[in-house]
Amino acid sequence: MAKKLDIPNADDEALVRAAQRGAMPPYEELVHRHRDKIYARAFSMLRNEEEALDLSQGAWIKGWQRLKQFKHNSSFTTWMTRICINLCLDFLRKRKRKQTDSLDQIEEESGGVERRMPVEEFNPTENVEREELRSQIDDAMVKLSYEHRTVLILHEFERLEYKEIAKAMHCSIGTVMSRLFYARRKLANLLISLKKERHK
Amino acid sequence: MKHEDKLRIQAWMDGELAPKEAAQIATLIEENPEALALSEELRVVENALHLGEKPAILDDSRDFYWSQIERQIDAGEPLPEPYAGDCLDQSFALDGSRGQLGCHCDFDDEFWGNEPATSTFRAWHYFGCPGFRDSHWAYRIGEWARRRECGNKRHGRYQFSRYSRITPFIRSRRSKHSARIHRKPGSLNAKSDNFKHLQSGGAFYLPQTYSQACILCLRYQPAPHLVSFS
Repeated sequence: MAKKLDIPNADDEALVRAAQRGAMPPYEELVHRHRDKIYARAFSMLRNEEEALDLSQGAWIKGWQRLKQFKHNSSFTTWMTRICINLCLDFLRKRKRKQTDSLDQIEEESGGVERRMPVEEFNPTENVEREELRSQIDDAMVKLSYEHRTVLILHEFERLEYKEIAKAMHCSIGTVMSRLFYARRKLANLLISLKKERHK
Repeated sequence: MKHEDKLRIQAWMDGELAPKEAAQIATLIEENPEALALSEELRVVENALHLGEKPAILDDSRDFYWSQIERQIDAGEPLPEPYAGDCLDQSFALDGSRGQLGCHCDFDDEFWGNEPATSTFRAWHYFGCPGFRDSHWAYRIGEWARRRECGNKRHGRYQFSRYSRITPFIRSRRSKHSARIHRKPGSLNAKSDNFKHLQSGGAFYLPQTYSQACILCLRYQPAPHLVSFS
C-alpha cells in the first residue's frame, strides 16, 4: 500500500510528483509555499498590484495545466517563475502594442539621454543603509520603461543569459545588450539623483 | 570610446564574452580611464542590485487566494487576462425574458482616462448570459466601481456601485454599440423594444440589485425588472 503523503512536511519535489498524478491538495500546498515569490516577480515586472495579483494567479492556473510537462530539470519555483515571467511579458507586449508611440517612448527605446550621459564617478550606494538602498532601487526601477526594467530583472534577479533574455523578450541579443546597458546607466543616474536629493 | 566598446565592457562584466575578446576588453579597461570609469559605474549598479528586491507580500488569505485559482482550474476555462487595454467598445446586452445580464466591455482611455484600478472578469461565467460567445471579458473597474464591503477585502474591490456612468457612453457611442449587439445574435433580440431603444440612443439603467452584487461571490438577487428606460 502506498504511503500517504504528509503534505505540510513533504518537500517540493514530492508534492509536485503527487500533483502530477492529479492530486490537488499537494498543488495547493505548493501554491501556498511559493505564492509570495511568484506574486513578487509579477509585481516587480508590472508595478501594479491588481495586475500582478491576476497574473500570479494566472501563472498558477497555467502551472497546473502544464504540470505534466515539468521534467524536474530545474526547481519547481524556477519553472513557475518562468511561467509567470512569460505571462507578464505577453501581457506587457499586448499593452505596449495598444499604446501609441510618443516621442518620449521612441527616445526611451533608443536609449535616450543615457546614450550621451557622461560616466559618473560619484558612487550613489556609498554610505547608504541596506534597506534604504533597496528602497531607492525600487523607486528607480519604477521609473524605467518596462523593456529596461524587464531585462534588468531577468538578468540580475533571474540570472538569465543574454540569449535566454532575447528569446523570452522576442528580440535580438544586440537589443538585449543595448537595453541592459541603458537600464543600468539610467538606474545609476536615478540612484545618483535620489541620493543628491536626499542630501539637499 | 565607441558605443560598441561600451556594450562589450558590459558583456565582459556579465561573463558573456569569449576568452579572446574578454582579454581585449580587460586590456582596454586597464589602459583607458573612460573604460575603467564605465566599468566601475556598472559594477556599482550590479552590486546595488545584488541586495535583492524589495519584498512584495500578498495580503489575501491562503484559502481565498487558492479558492480563486481552484475555481478557474475546475472550470477549465482559458486564463484570465488583466485588462491591458485602451479601446472603448462596450455593450450591455439584456435578455429580459430570462432575467439574465451579460456584458462585454473594453474601455477606452480617451473616454475613461486613467483609472486607478483595472481588472478582468468573465461576464459569461459570472452572469451566464447565453448570447455571448466571448468566453471572458475585460471589465475595467475604476472610479465608478467603488469599494464596498461584502465581508472580504478583495471581493470588495470588484463590487459595482454605480452604473449610471454607463449611460453617457451608450448615448455617445450608440452606432458602435448597436453594431456590437447586432453581431452577437441572442444577446439581445433585434426586434425587441430594448434594442430599438438602444439604437435610438436610449439609455438603460441596471437595477439596484445588480449594482449591489459582488461579482466574485455572486451575492445578488435577480431583479424584478432588468431594465428601465429613461
